[in-house]
Amino acid sequence: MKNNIRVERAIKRITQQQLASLVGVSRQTINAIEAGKYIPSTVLSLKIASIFEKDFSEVFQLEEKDWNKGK
Amino acid sequence: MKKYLFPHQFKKIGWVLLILSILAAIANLPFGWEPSFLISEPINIWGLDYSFMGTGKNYFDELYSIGIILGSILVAFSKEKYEDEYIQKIRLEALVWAVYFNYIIVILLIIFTYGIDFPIFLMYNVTSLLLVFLIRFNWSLFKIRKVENNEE
Repeated sequence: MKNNIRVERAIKRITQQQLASLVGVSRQTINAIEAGKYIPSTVLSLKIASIFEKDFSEVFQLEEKDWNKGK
Repeated sequence: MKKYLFPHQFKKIGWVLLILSILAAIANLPFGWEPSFLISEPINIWGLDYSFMGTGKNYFDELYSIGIILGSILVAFSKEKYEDEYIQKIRLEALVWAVYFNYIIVILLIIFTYGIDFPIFLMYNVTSLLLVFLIRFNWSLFKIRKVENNEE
């Protein structure tokens, strides 16, 4: 799953730490999500999208390879 | 998973208990040191003598063995300062990894140790799973904290 959190953060002018505090996770978690190392839970994704006042699918997008996972 | 973890403050208590117990084990196992006041005396109840862990036996080794187990459980299973879903994923991965690693060691011991050596190694195996988990988990946390400074 792709995301454009980094871009949305730049638009909102907030740091990883600020976003982390707003959604109640550690800064490492935001860092890992931005780097594509960690796929956030549904609740956390929706919280992040809500901070940016965007729709879920504007911040997070499925990738081709997501369809192959778990097979 | 959060409901099975101890509060974050217990981590410090665990470290103190674990380090003291490991120091006690180091003093006791190779050097044979043990405090003399820990020798078990029979307890007299209604005219009968009951002994606790064997009369006349020093129970220093029992104490630090329990200390190592309880200490490492507290350190391993206390919440991190921010115990969020990503930390929990890392925790689970470290736990699975530690179980595999530990039992690979056990299998090697079964194959390569004989006679009296085997139960001695199994004695260490009581705590090795937790210690391997601790090392692996903290190493993963160290790695993710190290890369955190790549923010623009």
